[in-house]
Amino acid sequence: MSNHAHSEEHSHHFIVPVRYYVGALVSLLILTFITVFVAQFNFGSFNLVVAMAVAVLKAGIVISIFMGLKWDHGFNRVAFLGSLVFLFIFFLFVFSDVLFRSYRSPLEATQINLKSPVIKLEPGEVQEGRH
Amino acid sequence: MTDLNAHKVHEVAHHFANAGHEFDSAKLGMWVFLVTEVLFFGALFVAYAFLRWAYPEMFVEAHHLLDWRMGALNTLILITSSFTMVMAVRSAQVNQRGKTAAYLSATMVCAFGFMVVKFFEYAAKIHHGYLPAKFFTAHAVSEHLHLFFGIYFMMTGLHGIHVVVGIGLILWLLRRNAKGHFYSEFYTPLEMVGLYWHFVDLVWIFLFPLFYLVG
Repeated sequence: MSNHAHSEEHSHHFIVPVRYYVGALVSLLILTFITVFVAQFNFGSFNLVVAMAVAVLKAGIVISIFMGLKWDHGFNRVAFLGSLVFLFIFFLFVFSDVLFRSYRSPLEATQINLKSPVIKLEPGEVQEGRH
Repeated sequence: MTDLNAHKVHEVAHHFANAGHEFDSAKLGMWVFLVTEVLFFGALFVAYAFLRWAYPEMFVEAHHLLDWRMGALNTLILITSSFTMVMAVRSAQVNQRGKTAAYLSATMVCAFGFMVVKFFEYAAKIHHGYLPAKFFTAHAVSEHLHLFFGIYFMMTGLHGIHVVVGIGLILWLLRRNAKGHFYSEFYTPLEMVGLYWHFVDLVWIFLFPLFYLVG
């Protein structure tokens, strides 16, 4: 009970009103429903775009409200969002390689010679565990 | 114990100027840890993107072998648990120790629920022989299907390990909360485990559509 002097410094802590948390929860549940609903239809590559757009929106809600980055210090924001920039660079460099690569090692067919463990499905055979 | 609301006064470590300094330092450390986690999982997301790009028709076949209802159920469980976690922290901020315990317990029930669903999913995959690399013993159209289950078990497995670690951390928080360690002026461990738990939720938000929905 000796040191109560620090309580002033602590008072800057902002206690987030419950409505933000309830709002985030409800939004996340609705977005989950939307993403599952859209997946029932086949729009081709558009499905991936919708699924990723909804996922990014959900991630934004979790990061800003639940993780409180909306009210946090700018430095923490820079640190975390910086990691996403570096993740993007990771994607960029890997795909700048795989998308434009034409060379395949001749060793792949001989020395390396990886064998697939998959047993070919017979015509008319039903695959196990399909949903 | 006569006064249930009595709490242990937190002593600020000597190398910090005050409690605010201590809290902010801990929080920066936690965010930096989460940055390493983003890159840790990020490598697997890059691997996923590569495999998907290389074998698109194999991913369509594989997608039918996962039950989206199980994935959706786990999504709802994790979102709810993130809410209860944030409410546990908030309850400590307003000195409601009993509510902190209740919300932490609810979070832990969700975490166990998640692992139970995962157990049934994994059991079915193992039963059918849908396993990574040379352990794959099932019949399939695509000769690359074992690659899907490699990335599936790596990503959901690593995520599952994070959930198990989270359960341990919540147990630790429950114990400290019962001892009266947390109150409006000190709730740093609650806040940090909260950040970790929301990150685990964050990863699942991407895993769910990528594995269960988009085929």
